[in-house]
Amino acid sequence: MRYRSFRLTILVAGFALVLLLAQLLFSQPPAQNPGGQGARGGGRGGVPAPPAGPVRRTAEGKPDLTGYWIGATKTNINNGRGGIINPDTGMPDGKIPYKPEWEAKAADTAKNHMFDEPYAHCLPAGIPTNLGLQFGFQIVQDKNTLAWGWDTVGATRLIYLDNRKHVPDSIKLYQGDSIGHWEGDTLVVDTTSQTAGWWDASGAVHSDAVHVVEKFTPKDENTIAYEALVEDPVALTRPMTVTDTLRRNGITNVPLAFKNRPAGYEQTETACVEGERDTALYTESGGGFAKDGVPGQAAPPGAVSSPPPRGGGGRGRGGPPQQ
Amino acid sequence: MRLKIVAVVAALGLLATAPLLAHHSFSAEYDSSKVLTLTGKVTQFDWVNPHSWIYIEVTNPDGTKTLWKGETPPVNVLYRNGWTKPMTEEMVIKGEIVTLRGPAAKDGSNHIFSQGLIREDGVTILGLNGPPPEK
Amino acid sequence: MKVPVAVMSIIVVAALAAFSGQAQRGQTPAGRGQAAVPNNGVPRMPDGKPDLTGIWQVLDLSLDANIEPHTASWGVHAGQGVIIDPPDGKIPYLPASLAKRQENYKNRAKDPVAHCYKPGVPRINYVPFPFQITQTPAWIQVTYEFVHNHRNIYLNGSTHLPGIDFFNGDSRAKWDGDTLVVDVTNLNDDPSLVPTWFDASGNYHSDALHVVERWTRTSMDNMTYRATMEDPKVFSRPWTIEVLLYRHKEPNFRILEYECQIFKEKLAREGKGNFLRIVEAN
Repeated sequence: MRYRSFRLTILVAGFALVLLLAQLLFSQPPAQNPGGQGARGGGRGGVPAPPAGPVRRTAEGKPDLTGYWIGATKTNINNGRGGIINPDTGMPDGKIPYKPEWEAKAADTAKNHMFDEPYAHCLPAGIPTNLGLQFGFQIVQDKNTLAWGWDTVGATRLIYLDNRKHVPDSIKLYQGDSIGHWEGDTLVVDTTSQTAGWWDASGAVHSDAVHVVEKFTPKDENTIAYEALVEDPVALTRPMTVTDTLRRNGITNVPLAFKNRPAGYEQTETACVEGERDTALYTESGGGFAKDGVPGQAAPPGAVSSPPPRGGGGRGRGGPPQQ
Repeated sequence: MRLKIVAVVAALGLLATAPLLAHHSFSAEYDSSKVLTLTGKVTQFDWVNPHSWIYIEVTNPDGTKTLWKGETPPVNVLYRNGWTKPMTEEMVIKGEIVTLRGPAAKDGSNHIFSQGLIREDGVTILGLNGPPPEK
Repeated sequence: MKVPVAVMSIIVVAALAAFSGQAQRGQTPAGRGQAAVPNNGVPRMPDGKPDLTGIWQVLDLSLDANIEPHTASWGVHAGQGVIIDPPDGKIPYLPASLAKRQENYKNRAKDPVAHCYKPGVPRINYVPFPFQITQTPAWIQVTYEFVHNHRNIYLNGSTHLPGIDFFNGDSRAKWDGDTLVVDVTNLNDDPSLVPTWFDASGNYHSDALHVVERWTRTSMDNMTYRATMEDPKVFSRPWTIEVLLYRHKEPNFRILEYECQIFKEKLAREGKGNFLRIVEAN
């Protein structure tokens, strides 16, 4: 009798574990959702996407990039998986071609100055950094501008399409100054005047001498091939090319809150400045202002534990930040 | 009874390795080697970006109470996964007893990054980047 | 053959009527393959709707400080106010709410916009910073220079989102003739967190606020913006403001950035506290 109920318990616990693991895996970001023009697909991961149609077009016949998009999350762009082209092989497994003193600056930032991350201060992350932060972005495109909005920090970007001049060099903008034009079906965007910042969320610092030329080439209705030629003559030994594939957010995996809405997924407001409290928790060892203390010192006895070393497997995305 | 305990233990085990958001600055604020499991009464839920905050009142063995604050994923993540303001307001009004688990703040203050939340019924887990239970 | 004066008059009147009818629609006939040429200067989209695109800003600098009629004070321009209804030009507070407004005024150093927080609707449209309208038939993004605020205005027939609120609200719109009517709900007021005010003088609302905006481009260079506020917890009746927006025409003008949170952070660390307003004690 006892033996049987023990086996049953193990069975149920195992089943519960499997269910919970499945739930956690399926609930991970990014939410794959329709662009704002009608829901399609549905169902959680594993449902194959309907075949993509041709590139959407504006009344003037240009590709229409209006919608919600998402690319790879590049918490650490310098780990060989950040889409940087290795010039020797042409493969996207390259690293940032830092000058030695800037390589050292980046390492020091990651170790001692995470407090300086723009995101932590509700500052826009810059270009192309912002495209590699979580949760995607939106584009609304008319004949004059592409207006962008991000989930992270609620940042924005305006790309002007009228071949105007850049702002003077002395103006520094977190998102830079972006002028775009079409070359066939490719949107070419030239960005200058960025402030100094980071290429990722792990301390890959850059100077304010950055010049970026991006190319957005739609492949089909739901896919854009993305490439950014990045020059930073102060920090880099040579220019680097960063690549990514941008996909419409929400084709196969509509989040729960938007599942039954005919218009599908929407990106909602991020009000960062008024809700931000993290900066008070950064300790001096990370470049912040709180004193390093004894974590959990006020916890009741038994509440503190040390987790076992992490095994591999079982997670597709997420996990603690890659270092 | 045994089933419930096993399920909760299993849940806690999963919470320990629950996928985090690719959080920018996690290691500069929280100590992953000091994980806390705290049970207390929900007294406040601040529905704010970039991270929401759940406040629980933990009763210590000597009867005193300590207010702990758990940082959660962003509002937009919670909302996408079916959390709503009325739902969290109800948790506060009812004074629901919940269990939070996550790494403790490096500065020793009463903060954790709550990777998960176990609701009052004990067998239901809310990964905070997952959906709330069917009601 | 002589045409009788009466007949001539009828012909002239008929022609004038036809012409003014077209003027009311804001266009003269287009040539083949050409967009309709507006005769009051309001451009049109390919689908015939008014083109609201451009970079816009209020000229009246007194508004953000105080939307009611007021005399100047330190840092504050005098203004005649923008409330067109009720006719006395004053916000129709309930008596108990007026007391809270006076208390807000005493504490106006806490103006959320001075602390770089989201201004809310309608104030975001008359803070002294430009904004850009990017317009498609089903979706408009308004991008504001002030701390990268942006609003989505949906014209796809979708409904407001349940169970969440936003500083700048949830906006769903449709056209009423040549006026864009935007229904804004889910506005934020959590006194334990951060409110939004109508101006820097503490004119405020509750979580019951509902705003209906009416955007009408009246010429190439002007847009009339009206907003009607309803909030039965604070006001005795709905009230309406009317604000004139001007189009930026300077060569090369564009939206830049005002990320005041980083200025604020630095100054706070230097012990300079609330530096953005020098407020006379009152």
